[in-house]
Parts: sequence; C-alpha cells; structure tokens
Amino acid sequence: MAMARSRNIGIGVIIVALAVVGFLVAMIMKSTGLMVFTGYGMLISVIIMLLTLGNPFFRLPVQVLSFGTHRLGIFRKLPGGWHAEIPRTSGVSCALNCQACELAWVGCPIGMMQRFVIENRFPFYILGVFLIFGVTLGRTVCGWLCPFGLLLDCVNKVCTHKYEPPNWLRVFKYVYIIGLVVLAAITAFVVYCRYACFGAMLGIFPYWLTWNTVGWVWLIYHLGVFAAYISLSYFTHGRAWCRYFCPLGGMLGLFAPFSLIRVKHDWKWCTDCKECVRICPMGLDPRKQNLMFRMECLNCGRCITMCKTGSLAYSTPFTLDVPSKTPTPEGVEA
Amino acid sequence: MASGAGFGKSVRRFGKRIAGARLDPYLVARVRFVLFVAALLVIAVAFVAGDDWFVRRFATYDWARDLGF
Repeated sequence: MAMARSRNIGIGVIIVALAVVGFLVAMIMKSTGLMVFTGYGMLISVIIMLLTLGNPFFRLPVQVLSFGTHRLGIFRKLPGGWHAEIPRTSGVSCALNCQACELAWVGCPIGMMQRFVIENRFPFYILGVFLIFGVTLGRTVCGWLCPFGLLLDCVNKVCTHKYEPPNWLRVFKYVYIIGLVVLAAITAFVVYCRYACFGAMLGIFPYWLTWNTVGWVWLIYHLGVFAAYISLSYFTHGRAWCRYFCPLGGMLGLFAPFSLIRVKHDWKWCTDCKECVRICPMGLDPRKQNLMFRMECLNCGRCITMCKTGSLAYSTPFTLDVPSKTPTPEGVEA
Repeated sequence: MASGAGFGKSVRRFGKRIAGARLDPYLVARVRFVLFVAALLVIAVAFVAGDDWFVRRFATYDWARDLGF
C-alpha cells in the first residue's frame, strides 16, 4: 500500500504542477488578449486524463470524452449555438490535430507550422509548444486523448489480422513531416490540412450535416482517404497510422524519451511471458526500454494492465522504483 | 552495386544501433531540464519575434473558406 501511495504522489506532483502552470499561462494569455492557450474541449480532456493517468482503466472513458468534446464545435453553428461568442479557432492545439479546422476549438500545430513556413517565418511558437508537451507528457496524449486513436483502437478490437510491418518503416513519419514542410514552402499551401489530415476527415461529415456547404467531391474524397487509413489499421496489428504516418506523434516522439511520464519495466518480477509485447498497439517490446520504445510508447498502459506480476508500471522522476502490484509467487520464483 | 548494398547494410545496422540504444537516466534528466528551459526561451522568443500577433490572426482565420469546405 505504501508503495502504491508513493507512485500516486509522483503522478500527483505532475498533475498539480501542470494544472497550475497551465492555468497561469491560460489566464495570463487571456488577460493580455493575446490568445487562449488551448480550447475548452481539449482542456477538459487533458485535466481528466491527468487526474486518471495512474489507472489505465480510465483510458477508454477519457478517450470517449475527448472524442465528444472535440466534436462540440458543431453546436456553434446550430440555432442558439455559441458561434457568435467564440472565434472559430481559439488558439493552437498543443498536442492534437485540430479536428477539422472549421469546427475546431483549437488550431493544429502541423497546420500552423505549414502557415509559418508559407509566411517565411520560423515557427518558434510551435516548436516551444512541442517541446513543452513532449518533455512533460511525451506521446501520452496519443494514447489517451487522440480521437482518431480511439477509432483505431475500436478497429483493432474487431481486427483479426496481425501483420507486423518492419520496424524501419516507422521512419516514414519523419520523412512525411519534412515532406509536408517542403511542400508547404514550394506550393504556399497547407497541403496536409487539405488532402491528408484525419482531423478534416473526422470533422467533414458533421460539418456536411450541419453547414450544408461541403461539396460532394470533398466529402467523398475525405471519407475515402479516411477509409484507406482505417483499412490500413485493420490489416495490420495495432495503430498503423500512429506508427508510420502521424506527423504530430512523430514530433512529440522526438522529445518523448525525456518526458516526465513513462512506462518502466523491472526484470526482477518479469516471467518473460511476453504478454506485454503481444498487447502493445505500437508493436513495441516494453521490456527492452530502448530508444525506440521511449520514442514510440503511447503510455496507454495496456501492458501494465496485462502484466500479472507487476513488473511494468508508470514511472515519473518523483516516483520510487517499485512495482505497481504485489508480485505473485510465480513472479518471485522467476 | 555491391557498394550500394554495403551502404544499405551499414545504414540498417546504424538504425538498429540507434533504436536499440539505452539512455542513461542522469543524461535523460539533464537533457529534460535543458529542453524545458529551451521550450520557455523559444516561446519567449516567439513573442518577441511577434509570433503572438501571427498566431492571433491565424486563430481567427477562416479555415473553411481556404480549404474549400
């Protein structure tokens, strides 16, 4: 019990610190009229994620809530909605795609990075935002908050295919990022937002339903690309988009090895059953704790839930190195 | 051809070596601190450089019109 409490204290320190810093930044920025630090839907989801991060059991409810709150923008255009009071986009989203721009509470960092490049400006602000979120949470938002991640998790529930593409393909998302920036510079156009962003794909359907200004061609195009991404995930094990394509996850992954929250493995209790390897949606081996694991891990906690001996646990710099559960006799014997 | 295959092999070996590297916890802590300070500085520079104005203009920009929705 004392061990478990020490872990909760570690998570609690981060929760309180992030909440205080986030609140201060939001208040300062809002009071000076510069911008709102993040959207309300995002803010609600992040707070709940932080409050429940210590327990993977809450991940699905948090994902569902995040999905719902990111769709709230739809009410702005409905009769009696909030459209008049709230600007279309309130600020830059720190860690998620904007979820279809026109319905977004917040702007996407990838979209804004392209805008900065088009305007011949170095994206200092975007880089700072990536650094802050990468160093504190790493790719935790991908595992807990991303609405597309929720859909991919649902697809994987019914997926029977377990094809594992080679690991070197993970580099593709970094090629993708560089390509997006170069394309934006050459074409002076937000290529990603228009042709490939899953946020636009997720948002275009409710937008089409409520605003009645979406052309059929764009609707069919975005739904087609969306179906292609989903199919890709269906035929491969785990989250194919997150592994090979997501530019946002790639950017956060660069700083994730240094994040405050991570999954830690202790060989002392490990029975080498490899259940954690089998369950990992990113196709990682949590036992290795190498650079690839640190960069790619979504901190979803599935491996922690699956581990019967407690050799895997969330870890923070404020946490003592203790197993999350009382080791079973099998674990001790191993 | 042979040199091309050799180059590919050495690239794969280098990639595996990087991916399999284990990070020293003390190094991680130091780099984390440096990155955190760098993040604050970069955001400060962003405001000095006038990016806040750009972000504010961007935030009220009509995305839908530009994206053809």
